[in-house]
Amino acid sequence: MSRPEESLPPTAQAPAWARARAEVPAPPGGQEWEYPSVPVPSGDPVRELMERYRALCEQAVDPLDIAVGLEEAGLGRIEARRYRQADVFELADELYARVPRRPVVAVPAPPGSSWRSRTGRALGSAVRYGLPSAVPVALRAAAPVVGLPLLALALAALGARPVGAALRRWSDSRPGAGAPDARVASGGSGGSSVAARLWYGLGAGVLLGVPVLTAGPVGAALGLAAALGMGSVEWSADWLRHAAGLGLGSAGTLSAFRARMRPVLPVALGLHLALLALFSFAALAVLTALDLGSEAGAGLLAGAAHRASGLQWAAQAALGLLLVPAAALLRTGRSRTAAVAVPTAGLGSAVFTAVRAPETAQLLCCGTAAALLLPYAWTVLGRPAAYLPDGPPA
Amino acid sequence: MRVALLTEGATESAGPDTRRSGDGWCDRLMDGLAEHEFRLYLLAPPGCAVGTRPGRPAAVHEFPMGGRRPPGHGPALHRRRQYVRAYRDLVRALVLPAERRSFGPGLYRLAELAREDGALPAFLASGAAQRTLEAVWRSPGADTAAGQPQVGDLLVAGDLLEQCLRPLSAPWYGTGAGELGGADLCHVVGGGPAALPALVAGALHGVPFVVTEHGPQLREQYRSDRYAQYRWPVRALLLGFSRLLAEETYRQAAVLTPDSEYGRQWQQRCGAAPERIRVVYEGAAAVDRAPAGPEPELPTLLWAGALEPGHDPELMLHAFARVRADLPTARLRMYGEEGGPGRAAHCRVVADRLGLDDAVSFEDGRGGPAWETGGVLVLSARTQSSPRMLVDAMLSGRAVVTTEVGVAREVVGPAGLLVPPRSPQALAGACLALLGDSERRVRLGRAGRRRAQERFAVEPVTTAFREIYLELVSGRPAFPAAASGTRGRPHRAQPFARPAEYWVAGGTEAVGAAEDVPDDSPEAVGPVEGTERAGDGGPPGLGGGRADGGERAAGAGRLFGETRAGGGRTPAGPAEPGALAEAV
Repeated sequence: MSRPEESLPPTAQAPAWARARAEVPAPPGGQEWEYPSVPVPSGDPVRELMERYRALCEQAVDPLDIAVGLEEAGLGRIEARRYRQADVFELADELYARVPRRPVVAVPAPPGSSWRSRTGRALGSAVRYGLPSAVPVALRAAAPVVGLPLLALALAALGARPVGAALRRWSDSRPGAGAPDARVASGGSGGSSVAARLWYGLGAGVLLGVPVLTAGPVGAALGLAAALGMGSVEWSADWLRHAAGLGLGSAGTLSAFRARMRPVLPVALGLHLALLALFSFAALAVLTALDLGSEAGAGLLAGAAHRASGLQWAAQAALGLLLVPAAALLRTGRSRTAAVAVPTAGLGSAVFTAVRAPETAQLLCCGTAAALLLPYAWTVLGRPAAYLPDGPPA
Repeated sequence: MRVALLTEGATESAGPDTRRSGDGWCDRLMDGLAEHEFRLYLLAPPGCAVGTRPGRPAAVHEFPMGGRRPPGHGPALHRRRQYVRAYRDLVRALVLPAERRSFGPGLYRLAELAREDGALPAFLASGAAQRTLEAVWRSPGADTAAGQPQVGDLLVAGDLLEQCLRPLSAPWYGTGAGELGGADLCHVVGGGPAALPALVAGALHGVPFVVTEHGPQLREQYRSDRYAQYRWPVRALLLGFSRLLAEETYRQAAVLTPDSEYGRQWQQRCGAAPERIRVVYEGAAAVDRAPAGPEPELPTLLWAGALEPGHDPELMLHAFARVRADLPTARLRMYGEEGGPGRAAHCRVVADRLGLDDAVSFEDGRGGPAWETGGVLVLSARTQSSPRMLVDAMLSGRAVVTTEVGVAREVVGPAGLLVPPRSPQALAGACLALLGDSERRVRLGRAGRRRAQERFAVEPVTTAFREIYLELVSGRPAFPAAASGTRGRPHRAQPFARPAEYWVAGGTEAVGAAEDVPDDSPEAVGPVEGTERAGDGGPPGLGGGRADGGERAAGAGRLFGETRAGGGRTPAGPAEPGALAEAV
């Protein structure tokens, strides 16, 4: 049996003014512009309220949260009486008790750094370090006798490079005041200061510049490859941060996060070393091809592989092993360590070059620094606190 | 009497955000109670200019809140365990519903440790604190119904907790000159984080405190967008901190003075004892403003608020559509700042669709509404937690129509029309009734102005606090340290050991007289010491009263604060409804 109201057309139940409004066509885009009327409570009035404010009740942290939400919606003491409660607080208590909390729908992970932006930054870095190194190499190839002015010019170029890079990054990172959450897992240059980045850039410049300027053609080619490899260093460090950002959003406990981060630095190192080997091999192949001229043929690849000595390969690897953890530390709030380790190694390498072969100096200095830095970085980068700079944006 | 005025804000009010502490209110109070010696303790939000306020004799101490973590080392190894234990107590109270009671002890222990070595900020950022937080948060029984905390939440929550607890590191705790332990009482204006130093001073030095809230502070925390951006576990933890802090404040405060009955309900809900609450209306500086001149020629409604859903400008527009159907000459002026992007445009679209575009004008509400340009003033907000806007409207001498939410009923009373919220018919009916009856309009307008002038004048506020201050210190022992006896014994202090005038007798010399009392020498404190000091010309006993024996005095002080404070109603208390209607 149906009640008499149900047979009436829907507009006939509405009051006169609402009927008049209902005849006006709805605005395009479905925008609500009729003032929403207050529904009349029925049998279990609170059930209707539960339906209306379900999202509020499910996400509330406590009854007061619901009370505030109800007040914001215009429910006062009078309405609470209509729901047979003394005040909004008691109404909120009832709603809190009757609606179970529901886990929040997973918020999409913070964007972090995308693959594209990381690659862009890496390419930029490769160009920034590669070009100034290529100039003296090209000049040396064209004119075997290197004059003092040329050296000075090359050194000036090397010096200008990190300064420019640091200034550019500084200006990039200035308007970095986003939501506090965003700072946890955003890419780019984390919480490092300008001075730390400057020192790091200077140290890397010296480390790369010493073989380019002082070693023989093989050493210079390897130096050029390492300079191009700065792009890969940048990429690896960014990827490490990106992986940590993902871990922060998904790992449940500190130990789970540490377990997740344990293989990340070795993988980043392996990645960089593989790319560095590729670059070095390519540089040596070009060098061999130039030397052999047109008579080169089947022996090119084998010749390139045997062009550099084992010592030189080891020095190249040591350089790579030093720069990746340093770059990662620079981006994770431990920038001071990186700003000390890299310039120290650079200075040592420059000094030792005066008495030893450049590759020996590089292997000695970079190897020692890397041996000290790697365990430290591996420990520090496994801690989640490393990805939260020491202070929120102002 | 030496009063430490604690509030949020900066000496130079830098913008609308810093004004919520009622900066002008503090100034008016200090001007009105010139016989007391005030010291201002400010928790300055980040980015506020630190400076001295011109023409203000009161000493100002400022401590930055928020922003970058202050540099410093963590605690020494042997003290770290104590830090961890205190922090664990605090966090347990936040996330375990059954452990709420450990909030106070944890907080005071942390404050004590921070006072000893100042290593609290560095500790809270350390791995030990993170491990503690994680262990408690993921322990069985923790309230994580709507989401388990992730490592990212752990970091963010730890960081935010560190900011919340920063007032514990303020260099204000101690009994020297310019420190909170040297004050006779603390007066917290605004509640929230500003209450933290008062709580700590109460626990460490037994200084009683009064809390004045302009609008329920806790409610603002729940509403604020600041926490809305975080995931559920972080939001739950931080709001839990705000709630427990408010509850602890209300429990420990000697007197609570909300600015409305509405605020009283909030405080009672959060555990404040009813006998310690006294409503003291916020005095309005504009009480002496001249009433508005003649009414505009056309029947004009003036709406004031902000263009956002909370202030419900749409309700006004829909009601006005109905008003215009009956009274085609009616006009509406909307005064309101835009509450969010696109809000003003949305209101214009609604007005357009309702066919009101020629009768509605949107005015720039930044300088406050020009009340005299309206014949009837309408407030249609869904919530009103502060009486300021209503009082300002009533002082103009025009009739007021408002939705009956929050403080509206007690502020407007019989001197205006109240309509249910979210009901365009009711609002339209009230507006039409007033627009069509000029005699009633004038009568209600005058009554409203008189009511606002009576209740919201500055004078009753000063009178009320003069009484409250005297009542508070007169109920406390003159020598809390001496009265507390040896450690562990029940406290036997005499509540009326000194008359109230005794406390007023001290001038500025009292500070100097007490400066040389070392704060860590309980045996130097007592009646004997006090009487000896009397010979020096300083007021007797003030030195003894200042240098109490640390935490031993706290229990006695709190006991008497509870038994003696509160009680009588202020002259500014709510009058009998209807009394004014008769006067009209």
